[in-house]
Amino acid sequence: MEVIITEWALQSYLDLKAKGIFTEHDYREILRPDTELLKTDDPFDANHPRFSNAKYWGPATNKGQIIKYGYKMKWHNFGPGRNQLRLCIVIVTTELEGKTEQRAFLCTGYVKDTNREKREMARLKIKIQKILDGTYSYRGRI
Amino acid sequence: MSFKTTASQRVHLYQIASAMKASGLSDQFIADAVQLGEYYEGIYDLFELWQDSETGERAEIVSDIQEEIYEAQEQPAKPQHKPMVHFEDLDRIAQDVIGFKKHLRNLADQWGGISKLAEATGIAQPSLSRFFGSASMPRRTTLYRIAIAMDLSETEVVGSWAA
Repeated sequence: MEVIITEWALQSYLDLKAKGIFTEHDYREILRPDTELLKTDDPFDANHPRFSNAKYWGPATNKGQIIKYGYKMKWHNFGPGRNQLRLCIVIVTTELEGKTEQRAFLCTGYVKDTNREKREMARLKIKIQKILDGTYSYRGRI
Repeated sequence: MSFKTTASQRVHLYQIASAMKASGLSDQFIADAVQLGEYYEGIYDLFELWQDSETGERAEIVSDIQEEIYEAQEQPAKPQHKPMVHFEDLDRIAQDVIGFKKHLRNLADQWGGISKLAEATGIAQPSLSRFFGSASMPRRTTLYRIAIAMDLSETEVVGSWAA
């Protein structure tokens, strides 16, 4: 599956990097390889060692309801600050550059806390609608 | 399946907007937020969260909504492909952005401070605080508002990495 780096992902990575949430080693050895799994593996495979483990991957939810097309990649006690890092991902079939296919859109990365989680889930719904509408910016593919 | 606001959600949105007005948020902010909330269900969700939150968290929600307002003002009509930023460049860009914002913050403090800037730009104070404290590339919309308020020139506020 094609994996799109959205503007939201870039901007959040910039801020997380500047705040020391992850190091270059974390990025090269953990973050990037994990997200690259979306390119090669099936995130809906019930037997996949990573995607079938709710500790590392799961649907995004808001007020107990699954947000359609919305997913979260999760890292626990991550980086120098041992934070709960999350990356919102939208998987949906859309047209881009003249081709209609299912793609994974990397969206906002953030450090989870209860309030932030609620706000990010609300904002993920806005991002999904923008991806459906085609009113978003992207920086390329991984 | 879409994430657009329903009619009943819109009615509730207007009620919360009245509470926002009573809390002292500016008419411009509320009007812009309501306009977005009439379309995006996620904005409606942020309104609901604001209603159910205490003061500190409300400030964060106002900042979130303000960011969505500015993003909508610069929103492309179709997917916009911007140049790739490589990981090796993230640190340098982040440091450039932080340095620039620090400089701008100093200018703002000399000019009269964040409260005065919030009033002059119409940008809620929590949003300005988040803006100055983040390494995310600044939006031109935000930079222009600050420049106009403080009578700065284009070259003083727009760097090559403006989002």
